[in-house]
Amino acid sequence: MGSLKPQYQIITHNKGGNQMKHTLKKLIVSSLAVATCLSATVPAFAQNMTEAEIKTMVAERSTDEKTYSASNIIFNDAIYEGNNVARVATVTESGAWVTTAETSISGRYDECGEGYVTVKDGTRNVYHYTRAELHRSGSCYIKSDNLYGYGKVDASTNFVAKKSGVTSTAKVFYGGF
Amino acid sequence: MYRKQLSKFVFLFFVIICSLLGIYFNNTEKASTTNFDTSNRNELISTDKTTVYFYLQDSFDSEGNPTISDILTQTESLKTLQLINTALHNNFNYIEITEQPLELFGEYTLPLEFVNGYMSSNKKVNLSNQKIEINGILQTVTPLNALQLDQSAYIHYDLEVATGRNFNEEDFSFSNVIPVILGSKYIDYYNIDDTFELYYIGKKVTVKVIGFLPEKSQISQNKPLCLDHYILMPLFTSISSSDINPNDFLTQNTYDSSDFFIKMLYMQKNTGLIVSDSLDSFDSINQELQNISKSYGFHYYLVNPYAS
Repeated sequence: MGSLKPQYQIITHNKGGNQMKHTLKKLIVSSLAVATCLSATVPAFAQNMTEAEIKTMVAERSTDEKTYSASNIIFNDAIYEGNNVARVATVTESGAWVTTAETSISGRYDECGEGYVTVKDGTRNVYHYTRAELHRSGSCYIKSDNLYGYGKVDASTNFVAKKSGVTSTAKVFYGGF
Repeated sequence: MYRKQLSKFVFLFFVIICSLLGIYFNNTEKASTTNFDTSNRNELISTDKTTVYFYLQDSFDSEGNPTISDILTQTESLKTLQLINTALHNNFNYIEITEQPLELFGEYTLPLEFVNGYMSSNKKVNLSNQKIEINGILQTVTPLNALQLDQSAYIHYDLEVATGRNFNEEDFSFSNVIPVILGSKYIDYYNIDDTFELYYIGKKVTVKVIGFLPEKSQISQNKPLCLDHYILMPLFTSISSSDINPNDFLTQNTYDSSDFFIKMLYMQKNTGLIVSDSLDSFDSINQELQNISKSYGFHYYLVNPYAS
């Protein structure tokens, strides 16, 4: 028994060391898993996207109807502009949402699409337009004017009667020169 | 002892991770909330049900149609836009209304209700005093609520000032000093004949206050819009590149800023409202619009706001 105790202690000690290693391994793996999950939820964008891809990207991101900030979105030119000098511009902030209001047009509920976009070229703010659109069944139902400005530029469509049984989504587009 | 410390460490680590995840998802959830209270927009109830407004839309940037870039860079596009504008006025009871914000450079100190986006998003979007870098210089910009009306819209809504004067025919021709009528809430901050500099579609303009609207003045685009916190300015009927000083633009560009400015203006002018006294007229108006579209090669269509 007497000889076993120290052995046990030694074993325990060793076991503790292994446990610590094992736990640290687990922690590292867990941390990596968590980091991977988080990074997957943050928009990541490929460089040198085509304009069509950028357009789709903006639309899809906006369809989530979330306000978000993102950085390092790099592309060759501001959206819709295929014939000007290539440059690096970045959407640093954008958001889109559907506003529902109870009132006058339909006598039930009306709705409009709203959104905003900020575009930068490095630290320099890019003069751009924002256009909000209200989409139903995958296509644009009504859109706002292209509204121009520096910094965060906001736009909203006119109100229309809410269509029963159809879920509308807001999308936001932008462009430069 | 060591195991206890290790357990504590593991426990603390997961508490921190869980807290971080909690904060992350909580913020995401908050950000995705879109159920905006629109009490400000709803406080005014439209009473004029005999007039309906159909929304005119262009198809630029959609499949098979010219892009905005095409319109801005093609030399002939301005002429086409101007011809379409004339056709719209000749064929319909057409009024031009846009809500292009006017940008103020410098520190903004007035209430946020005057700032674009603030009221429409139920005070969720604050665009005042944005720090932006232009030409290597850090500047402060605030977009202000503004409504541009052409002469037919101004006559249609029959807006009358409480003090000062109304717009007259001359005001709708472009000039270097643009007359503006301010919403009633501006009366505490400005006087008649005050002038100040703002930017309109990237161009510096000097505006001169000629009047103030009565409290709770409104216009209807099917839904009433209260003008108390708005700047009203004329949407010009005639303007040419020679009227514009190229140095008035904030950024110096490789393209012709004056030409772009007028095209952008006309794109806005051509997405106004067609006024009718009957919802039943929608199809016939839309058909006529399709004929105009075909004639000029730019596609336009109508949206019926009442369709549900």
